[in-house]
Amino acid sequence: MTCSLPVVVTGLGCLSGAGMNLNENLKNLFAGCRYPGAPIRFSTDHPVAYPVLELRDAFKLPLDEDQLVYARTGQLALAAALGALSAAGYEEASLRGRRVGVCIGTTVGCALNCDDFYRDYKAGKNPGMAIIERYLRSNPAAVIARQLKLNGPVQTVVNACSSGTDAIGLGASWLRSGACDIVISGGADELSRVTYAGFSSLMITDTEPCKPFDVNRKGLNLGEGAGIMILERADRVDKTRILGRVLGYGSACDAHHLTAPRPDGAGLKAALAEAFRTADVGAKQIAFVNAHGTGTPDNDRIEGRVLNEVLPGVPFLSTKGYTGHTLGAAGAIEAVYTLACLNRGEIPASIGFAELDPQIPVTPVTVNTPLGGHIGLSQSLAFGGNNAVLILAAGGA
Amino acid sequence: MRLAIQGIGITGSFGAGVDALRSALQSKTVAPQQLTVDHHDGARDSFPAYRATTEGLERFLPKRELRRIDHFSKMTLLAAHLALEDAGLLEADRSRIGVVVASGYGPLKTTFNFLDSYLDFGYSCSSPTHFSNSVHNAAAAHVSMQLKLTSPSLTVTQFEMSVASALLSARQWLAEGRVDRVLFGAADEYCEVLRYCRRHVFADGEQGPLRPLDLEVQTAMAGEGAVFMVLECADEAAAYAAIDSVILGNHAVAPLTMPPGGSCGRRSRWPPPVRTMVC
Repeated sequence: MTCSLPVVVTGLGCLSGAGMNLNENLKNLFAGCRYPGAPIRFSTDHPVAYPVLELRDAFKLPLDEDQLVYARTGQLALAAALGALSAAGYEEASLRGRRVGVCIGTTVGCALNCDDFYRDYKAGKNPGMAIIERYLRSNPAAVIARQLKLNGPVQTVVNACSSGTDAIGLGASWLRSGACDIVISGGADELSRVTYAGFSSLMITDTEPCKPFDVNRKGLNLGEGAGIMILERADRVDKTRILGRVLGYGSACDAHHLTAPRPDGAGLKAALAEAFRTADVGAKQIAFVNAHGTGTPDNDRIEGRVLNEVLPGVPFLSTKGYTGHTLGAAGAIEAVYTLACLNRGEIPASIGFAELDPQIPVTPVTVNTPLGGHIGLSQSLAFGGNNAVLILAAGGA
Repeated sequence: MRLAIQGIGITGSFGAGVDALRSALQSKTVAPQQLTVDHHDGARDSFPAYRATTEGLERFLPKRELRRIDHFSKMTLLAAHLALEDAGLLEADRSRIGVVVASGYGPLKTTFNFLDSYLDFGYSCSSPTHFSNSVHNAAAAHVSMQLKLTSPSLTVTQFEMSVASALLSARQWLAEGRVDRVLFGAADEYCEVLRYCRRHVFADGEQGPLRPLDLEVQTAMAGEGAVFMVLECADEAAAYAAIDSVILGNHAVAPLTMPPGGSCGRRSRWPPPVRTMVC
């Protein structure tokens, strides 16, 4: 089985701790700049402040004050979607009468973990429903569909940290089936006190800027942001609008542990095999891999070994040193980066890496590196044992 | 492409399994449980709700395996096992069975248990077990782990539209040949915070009895449960029914076009044949 009907990308949108739009993200990536710091929007009583990568500027949506009724994740998704649609040459009105699907990955954006509300509830303070009503309005895919008055399938994927990758793969699948004409796909997640507390409880957050694949890595830094791709059927798009192609998608489950990757990497290998099969390409055609590379000891060890086995000699990097781990948005932001790098013909240095880990038989790129091909691979590993892989091609390929 | 429903597993306030559901439907009534919540001000809130059972899960899994699994995932596990058993697949090769779970709210109780852990004892005492079980896809993960299902797993959340939305992607997996079957399910659970919110919104409207389609008065009651169906591509035989189309759209923006009616599976046994299910 191959994904015989080509799906093309006509718009990219992205905001993260590395920048408020795609150009700013790329500028910082290729300049080797990152901006980790203590959380600004919330505090905890942890004895140490774990660095995070928050958006460095306020973002403004083109909405009236009374329309700003969405939680931050929904706003991030909408901001990235508007950026991607603009890049694709679409105005809101030009989507009318078309079947436009929305497929968005998230984790925080769907959880009823409103701890301000719950604190008052526990204290018997009889909190009102404003926070709950905002939560009910803020399902990220529904936010985009509702705000843009779209008619088509709407889906929020909650596959933990592979959600964004899965959402793009599923969105491409909807197009191939004829379920819609255009798909707004990607992922969004805000930085939250709840996930901050959760990941620190698992003891997989670093007290310093993260160091993916490095021997001294101690864990991840959390981040926030959104990445969006506008997907369309190749046979319905003017070639001059094509920014890239979704060649293949694979996913598989470890069926091993709720939070730890399977030691033999079997789930990731199965997802890679399915992605290669659906893309009808081989490992030798892959110019680079945008790895999950969280900076946690387990993830990077397993992922590095699988890369060595399945994609030996293929340059790879982790961009989480620039963005932090943006959870449900991560796979989407990284897919956007992958395509942007393919079009640029180079990848940035894998920031944070300095010293080889003898348990990992591969080394990420340590300097900005020119690419020798036009096909790239972006992969995500997630809680629940999910593994998801996208194979993407440059626009002119 | 037609989806055949080849097995069903379900748990709700009526009990667990297709036979329990059938009995409940034939008796035309299921009594809700009367629950009470004691508030900080000393007031006692008493109300009816439909709680689901997880009794019978020990038939499939040893108690030891269930120690750290919450009620939400237990309901999900029970329904998933029952569906596979109903389809005769419990002992079969399950290497190409995908898992799709739809949930409007995810594991609510565990989500709040996690908040309890740091609100009560400080952030440094946040519970890693509650945190890792509070993610929406924890239930799907438990299903994959316990049933050794290594094919793709997907969890979708779209509030009341979760099932219809997830069904679209399940159908797509089958159409593309990514899997041979999909263990397709849905789960949502009751919790006290949910009751608090519903009472705020509906005031005293939830005292029962529940009167569906009575549009003049609010009679809905909180409930919970889980259901799974074993789906596969099949033009001919369906154990229960066939799903011909999955169509989603925004009726407020554009009219919904219904497909022409399809035909039912040939070896339907129960319930009476459904000619076409359109979500």
